[in-house]
Amino acid sequence: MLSVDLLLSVCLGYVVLLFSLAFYVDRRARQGHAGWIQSPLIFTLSISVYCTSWTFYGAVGSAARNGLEFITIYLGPTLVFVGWWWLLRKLVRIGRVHRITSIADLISSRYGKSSSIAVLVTLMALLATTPYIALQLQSVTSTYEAIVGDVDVSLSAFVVASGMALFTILFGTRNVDANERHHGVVAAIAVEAVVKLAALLAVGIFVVFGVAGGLGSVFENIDTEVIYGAGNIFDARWVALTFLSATAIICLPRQFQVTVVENVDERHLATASWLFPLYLLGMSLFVMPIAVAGLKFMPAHSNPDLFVLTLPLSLGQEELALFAFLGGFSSATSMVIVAAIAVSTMVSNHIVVPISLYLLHGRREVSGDVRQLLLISRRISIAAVLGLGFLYFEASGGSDALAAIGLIAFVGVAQFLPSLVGGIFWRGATRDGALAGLVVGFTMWAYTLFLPSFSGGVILSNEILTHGLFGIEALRPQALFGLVGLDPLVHAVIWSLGANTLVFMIVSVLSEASPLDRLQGALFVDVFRNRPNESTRFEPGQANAEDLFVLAQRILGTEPARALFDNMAREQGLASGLPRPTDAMIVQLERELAGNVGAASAHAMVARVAGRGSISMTELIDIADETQRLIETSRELSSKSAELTNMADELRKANEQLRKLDSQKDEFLSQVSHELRTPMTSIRAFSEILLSPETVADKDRQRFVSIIHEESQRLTRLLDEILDMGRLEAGTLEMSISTVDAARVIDATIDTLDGLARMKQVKIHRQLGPGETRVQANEDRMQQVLINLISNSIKYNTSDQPEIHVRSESTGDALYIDISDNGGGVKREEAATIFEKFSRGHRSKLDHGAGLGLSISRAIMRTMGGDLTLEFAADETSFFRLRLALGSLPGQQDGGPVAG
Amino acid sequence: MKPDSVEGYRAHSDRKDSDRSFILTLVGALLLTPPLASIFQLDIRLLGIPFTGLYLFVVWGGLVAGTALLSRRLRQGVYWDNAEDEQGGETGDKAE
Repeated sequence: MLSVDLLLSVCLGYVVLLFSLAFYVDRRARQGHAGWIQSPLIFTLSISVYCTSWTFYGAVGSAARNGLEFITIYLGPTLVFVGWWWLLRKLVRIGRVHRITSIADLISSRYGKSSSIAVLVTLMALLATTPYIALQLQSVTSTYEAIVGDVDVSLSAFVVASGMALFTILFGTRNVDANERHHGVVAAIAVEAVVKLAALLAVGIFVVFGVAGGLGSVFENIDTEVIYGAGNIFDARWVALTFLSATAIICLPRQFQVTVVENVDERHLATASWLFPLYLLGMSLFVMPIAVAGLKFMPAHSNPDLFVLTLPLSLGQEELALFAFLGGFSSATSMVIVAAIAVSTMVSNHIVVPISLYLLHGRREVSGDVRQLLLISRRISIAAVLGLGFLYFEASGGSDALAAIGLIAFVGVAQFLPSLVGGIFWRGATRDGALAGLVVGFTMWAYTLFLPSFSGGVILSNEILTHGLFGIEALRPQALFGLVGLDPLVHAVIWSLGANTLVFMIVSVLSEASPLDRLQGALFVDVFRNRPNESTRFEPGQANAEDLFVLAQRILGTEPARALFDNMAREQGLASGLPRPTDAMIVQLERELAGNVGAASAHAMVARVAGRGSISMTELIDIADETQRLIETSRELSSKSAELTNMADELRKANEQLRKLDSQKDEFLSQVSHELRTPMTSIRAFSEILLSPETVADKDRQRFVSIIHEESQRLTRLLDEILDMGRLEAGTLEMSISTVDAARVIDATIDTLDGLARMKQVKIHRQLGPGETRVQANEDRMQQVLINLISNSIKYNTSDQPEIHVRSESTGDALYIDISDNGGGVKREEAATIFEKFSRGHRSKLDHGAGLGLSISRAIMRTMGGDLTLEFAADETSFFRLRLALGSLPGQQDGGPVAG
Repeated sequence: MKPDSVEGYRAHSDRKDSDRSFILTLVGALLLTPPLASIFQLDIRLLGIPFTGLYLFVVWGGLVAGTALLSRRLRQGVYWDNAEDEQGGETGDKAE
């Protein structure tokens, strides 16, 4: 038997060790040597406060009663950490960006910094944590009792509670900044984490290899039912428990404290994501073997919750039992310490501080240092939380199954889940929704699980438990609305969480979010997209910088406040004095204060001083920024698409042009072949006749040969024209331009055509206007154009007394030559096509020409720098007009070659 | 789509890794709960150890290993670059 003295001195030594370690680390950290304490390993170990004495002792008890079911308590957290990237990372980022101090702070901050939510969550956390703390006290006293025999349970529980309160106050409230890591506490917890793992592994290894003789033989002669539990292990309860434990690792105030609040580097999560599940695996590796061995070797009615301790004791392994006791002690104390810090921060920030601020309202003198008030309130809160735990322990007189209390607490804190997860993933979640969900969920939890756990002792009598509220069967707490046949835990989970989630969503959808609510929603949901501390542009000018400074001084302390304000003034570009109370400055100040008193309180305080009860312009702009970004992106996109449409249009046009040109070319080719074919056909026909052996009369022969001659001349002419046309169009026809007297060219042309005109009895009138007639042209080509035009007029004139007028007139720098006749002219509808290749006017039906004349003429005129157009006089008669540039080329009287 | 820059490539592989992390969680949850887990509730023993217990621990170990692999990659990913680090940074690297 271990002596009381030895046990006490070992315990005391261990406690002294922890105190010194915490003290040493705290001092080192404050000298700036945080070093190893800020490593991912320590971070992971601190998360292991999840493993309380409930895990250390209770898991074996649970395994002995229900088989493998105990594993669910570890599987849930394992899954949450495996999926850390999706939830925990976001929580940690939000916690860091918004200087979150607790889970109540996070939820209230998300829902428009609502203080009612903060108070509600705090109360719920307190209510769920108190039995849990009582459970730890009970485990320490009952294990102590198991070793030394008869002891004063109340006294030892009180001693343990006081010791923990002392430790927590000493190292948990050194600084008012709840956002700062408690290095001493974390160091102590890390050591305790190692101790409890090592102790459990030691007991396990001893039992398996020292007593049973191997892993396989432990399970010999053990019924499968003992290991798998009665019936199907993978039932609804299995799922509910896995889900609950997954929820607990997120929602338990102490877990939130170590994972989110105390996190110094987001990347530590990456390590914890696998290391923490590994730790849990280590913790549960020997649970089943120990339980089985306990059932085998221990007397029939011994408490399985204490197997970890009593098994080595009964086998005479006192040192091992002592180690196991220290492990259990470590599990209990680390949980209590962290839970006390977490819950007391909430109580202090969300209940004590607002009340004292209300009481102190109006007293603004600097001497009323809120810092002192904060520290005192937090210390009192710690003492109160532990005191409550102790009272609960005293009142409940020690419940028998440890696991039950733990699970009740799990379901209690699980009520935070809908508002928490909904809040960081769903912009539409509103304050009213969260509030309603929390109230409903919490009421359901209390009614279906928490109060019935007293077995008719508190509020709910046995009568109500068995026959329902007011004797209504449907209101039986453990078979609500006729939902019978379920495990009470599963029943409670379904009702409380189900109703909570539903109400939360429905009320959120039905209610309107306040602007601040919406702002915080946007900031939380898009935490990875928003750039922190974006600069701002508006000055409300309402706040008084001095008042703000006084406020900051009272909360942060004189020196830190001065440093902060100096810094802000420097950021605003001010050389000295207080910073301007811009929105940016106020938001920053609010965030700093939130790190101390929580978002809701900080908001309320600043709002009171700055006179800003509601959301500011800047904050609205911040929300708008997100929208603005989206609008800009979509604008860019639409301009891009317009560009593309334009480009496609142009391409389509170019394509059409090409198609048209292509069909024009085809048309041209078919025209050419057609034009060539007609003379070729007659040449071939007549030459065949001449070649035939039958004799042809000489007269006929003569006629045929002359036809062949004419046709071949026509062919040659046509080919020449086509050749010309091609060269003109390609711009490769060389044409020498010189100064030419237009009057002389006109005279020469009329002379040339005199014979034809006489034959057709056409009168040609010439009217040359006064002034300059010397133009830039190629004489031969100019004459070709004139001959073409005038001979057309002669040939196609259908008038009885045909006349042709050739007039010239010089205006400005151009000479115009108009050629008109009285032979019907060109119709207006023909005007557009008359210059096209192979086009013939209505007058030329009988002609043999190819229809290239006009287009060649125009091309020639254009190559010479002039033009050929069809004009209409006032009386709708048409005439051709030639335009040529007047004047002589300087120093180029004879003209050199000019490329067309 | 093939990323065409170093950043693009990193973001792309990060995206893949974060998807993998999601799938790993999903698979883990499915393997550890009914109805899938019920398949492995067998009344047999391997080396004297009950099969279902062994199964649970093997899946658990697999999850730990998979997460360790993925986290190592995700930890070096681009997403941390815009993380505002007040005091972190190198401290994280020392201990690993």
